[in-house]
Amino acid sequence: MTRWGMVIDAARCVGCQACTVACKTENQSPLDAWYAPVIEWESGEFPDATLNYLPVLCNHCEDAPCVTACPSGALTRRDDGIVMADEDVCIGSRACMTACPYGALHFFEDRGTVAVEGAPAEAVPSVPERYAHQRHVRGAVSKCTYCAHKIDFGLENGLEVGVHPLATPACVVTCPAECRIFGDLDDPDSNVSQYLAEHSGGEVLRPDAKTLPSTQYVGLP
Amino acid sequence: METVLGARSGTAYGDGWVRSACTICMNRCGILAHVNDDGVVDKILGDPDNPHNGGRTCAKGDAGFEGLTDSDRITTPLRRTNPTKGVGVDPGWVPISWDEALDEIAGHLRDTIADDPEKILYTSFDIFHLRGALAASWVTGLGMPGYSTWSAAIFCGNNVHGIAYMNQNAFEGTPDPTYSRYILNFGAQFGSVVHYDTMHATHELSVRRSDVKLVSIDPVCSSAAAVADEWVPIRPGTDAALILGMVDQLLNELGIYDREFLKNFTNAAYLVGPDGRYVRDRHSGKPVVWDEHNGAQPFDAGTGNAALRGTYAVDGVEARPGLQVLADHVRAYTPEYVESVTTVPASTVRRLAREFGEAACIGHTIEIDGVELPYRPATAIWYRGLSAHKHSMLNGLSIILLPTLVGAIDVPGGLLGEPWGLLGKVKDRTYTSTASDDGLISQGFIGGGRVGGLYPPRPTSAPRTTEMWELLPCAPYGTVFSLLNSEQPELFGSPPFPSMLLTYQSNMMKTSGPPDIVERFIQRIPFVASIARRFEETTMMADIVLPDLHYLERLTPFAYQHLSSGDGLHSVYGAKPVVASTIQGPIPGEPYVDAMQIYLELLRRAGRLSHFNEAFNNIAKMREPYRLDPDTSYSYFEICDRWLRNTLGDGKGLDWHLSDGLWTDDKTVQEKYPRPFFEARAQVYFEFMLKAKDDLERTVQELGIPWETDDYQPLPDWKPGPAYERSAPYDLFVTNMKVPNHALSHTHKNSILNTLSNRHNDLKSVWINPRTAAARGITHGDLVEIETTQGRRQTATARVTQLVHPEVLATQGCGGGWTKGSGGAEVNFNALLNIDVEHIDFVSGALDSAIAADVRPVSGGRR
Repeated sequence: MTRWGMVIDAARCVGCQACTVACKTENQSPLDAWYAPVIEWESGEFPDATLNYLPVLCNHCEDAPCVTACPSGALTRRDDGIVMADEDVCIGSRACMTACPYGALHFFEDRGTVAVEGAPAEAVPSVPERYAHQRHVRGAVSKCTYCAHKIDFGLENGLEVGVHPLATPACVVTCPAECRIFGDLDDPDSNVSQYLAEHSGGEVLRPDAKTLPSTQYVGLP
Repeated sequence: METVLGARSGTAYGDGWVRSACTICMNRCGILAHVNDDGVVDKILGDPDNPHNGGRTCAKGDAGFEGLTDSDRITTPLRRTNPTKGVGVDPGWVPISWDEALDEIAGHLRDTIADDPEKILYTSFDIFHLRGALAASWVTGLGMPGYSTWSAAIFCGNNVHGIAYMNQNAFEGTPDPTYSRYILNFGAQFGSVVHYDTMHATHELSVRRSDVKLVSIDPVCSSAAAVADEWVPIRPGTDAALILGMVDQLLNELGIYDREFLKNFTNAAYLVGPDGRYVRDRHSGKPVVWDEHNGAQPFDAGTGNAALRGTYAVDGVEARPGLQVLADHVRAYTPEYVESVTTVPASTVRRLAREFGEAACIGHTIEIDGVELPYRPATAIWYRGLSAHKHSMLNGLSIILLPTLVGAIDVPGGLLGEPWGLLGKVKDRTYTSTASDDGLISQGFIGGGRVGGLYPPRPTSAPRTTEMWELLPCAPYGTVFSLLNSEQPELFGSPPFPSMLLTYQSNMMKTSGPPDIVERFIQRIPFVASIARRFEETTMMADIVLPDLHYLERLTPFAYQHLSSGDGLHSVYGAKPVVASTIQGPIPGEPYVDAMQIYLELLRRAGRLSHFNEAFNNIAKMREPYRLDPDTSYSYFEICDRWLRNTLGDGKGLDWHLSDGLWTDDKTVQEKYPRPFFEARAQVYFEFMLKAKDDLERTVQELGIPWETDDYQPLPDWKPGPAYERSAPYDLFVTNMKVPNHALSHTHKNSILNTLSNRHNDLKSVWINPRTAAARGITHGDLVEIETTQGRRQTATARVTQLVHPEVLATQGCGGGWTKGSGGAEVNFNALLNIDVEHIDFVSGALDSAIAADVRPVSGGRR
């Protein structure tokens, strides 16, 4: 079996937010929904203070609480481990948002506004905003899919997933610091498995939630 | 031609993907842009085949297509009907024809050229680099001596470029991404997507992270300091004291310096007399060195074993090698003194010097392509952080000592010269340099189209423009003096004021001095034309506006000519129209693809086309059969085709550019690491400054104008800037830093990036240390007002954070514009600057950007 997963070497992240924006333009997410942000927090006291960065996204959990919580069946886990949201089926209960320990689900509240704060309502919506309305369903939940459409495109066209830019999640392709690797966690010879082995295994966020995430980390701050 | 514009092919990535170049920032990555079935660009990827960015993009590049369909795009030439100009004034635009607009601008060009071509002020930041020989020929064709990069010429490379040419024969120096292992980021953000060659550097440093120690010396824990191994907070404007303290440690305490390098590749051994001048050979006039066996010898006649230290009697005069003079000079910079100036603990000064010196691995070598080279993996980098200060040039002359003293100049691991591809001359970089009579690197620097630089200093004369270029013998730019002359016209005897302003991709109102000062400057110029895509702050001051294109609509064959030092490939590539613009351009029936079409049409209408053609033949080194006939009017497309074939080979004309457009080539080891392969020397003792000072003082005395010459000294010092001696309540420094998700000011109109900023790095905020905030009764989230000693004010939200020096108020980015969608609520740092003699460096033309300020809560104000 294939179980797609992502390894993020957090020690490499420079906090540039390229992944955040690449995800947004690839998935045309509603402007205030960020499927793959880099979160940051301060630690220490001056002069020994610093700013820490951590890229986050859907963990595509093996035991996904969002799938369990979903009353409509809109959230499902594919055989390859990717958790998908069917926006046409979603009834907007937002139970998944409560259940997810990672804040990885986003409700598309169409407020009819345009992108720029303070811009007049008559302004032409930005390109991603316009396409967000075509691609996403208002009043429904959407989420990171590991760019499943790119993975499927790659598999259909014989492109190597995790390597070819058209068959790899957008956040992985863009990263200037190369801190993300994408591949098959079930294949011990895959890039992700090898990287985890080289770094004595990965860590997950919120291990207490016991959701068995497919998004794993090394070098956590 | 029509068929290839907006062509949805040109790459191996299938339908809809077009190879082009991102020109949002100076890094200019290779990209693939995707055009969807509706003909709309909806995705940008890094071009995987491009060695410069290796398939990677940053947040700005990812969001770059935003703005193609802006509602405030300018789509037709416009004329102002309201004669009153100013911030907030409605210009009363009315559409006019291209003919009318072009004739009017050409008429002004003709009249001004007949009067004095130097009275044309042409400002553009990036046209020179994007369009190389074309831009230079446009300027030359008009008979102008140069043009202004404007804001960049005030804040950017004032103490960078001349110094890089002096010691590296390059435009700037950057750490070796492949081999550097110890990097001092002095107020710079190398390695965090905020610097040139940034994608390559960020990638290499990230994948080698455990092998590299990054140290950020910065008043603020910037994005680079956040990813550094160590953040060393420092009081603004005091870096030179720390650097000279490190030099003292290296020379006088640790004895760590590259003796072989200094003897053979610098002037460190040149003997200096009590007057600070070189001791010269009586017969040849050459500087002498002290040879152990033969005594005083011309520098190039010795046995390569010249003394670097000691005192010697030469012809009855007491002389010391330049390095000894430097070592004696820096003894004043004890760690304890440095601590008192910088707030950096004395123990840290000692430790940084030792770490840097030991990391330089003096004496070690490495084999590259079968050639054994010195291995010096320690270096330092700086830009605006050290440059935008009152004593800017002294800061620059201080920091270049660090890599030079340890021999980390253009060798593996060291500071590598980035020459860029100048003027379209591919494979024509001189990786060597001609030497002056004194044996020193003496390649000229081309700043704003004018040849100049630091060494050798230019002869001085009466100023011919408000830029005072003729009184700046060692500066790359004099732009800031235009604003000073506008504010105080009598100060320097009213040098000739511009008669017309033509501005392109240069938002002067937003990106240079305070808006009211720039506003008055532009108001005084009788005619203003602006080529712009949107109604930016400067465009709103224009008499005539011409529509510009989005970068994804442009044809710019030489957007990138990366002929760098260091590992990797040479690469040349350009931008092409990913989508065809729907805007009618200046030439009926011809697709509008670049502002150069406007320039060619203006040249034709102003009767200067033959001058342009001849200039282009010279500057682009055109050969037959590609040379332009002076009396023929060529289309932009034909010029591009000829230029491409002339430069890259006959098979690589415009068709090749449109269907492929990426040229790469291997580098020789000399091209990667040129320093060991040529003789001209770098400098550690700057004797030429004394000569420049003498000449300058003579000239200003003859002119009878006040001029500061104190900073023309042969060895640098730290000197306090105007904000150093602060008194309550203005006892803080307000400063500014770059953020990785914005470039210059223009990205502040990008809705994706603005929304990201609102969430991620709130540009409406000012960073205040908790200690400072508490003392002023400010809590996190308060609305506060920053006020400078000159009464300039900005409102901001307090971000109370440990990430900033207690004496500093840190602002971010270049937002706070007042036209539609330009982040109006963001802090406009430039509005706090002072344009006066106290804040201007009379050597480099830099403007001090550490401003004395107070901050206080706005009563009842919270955002």
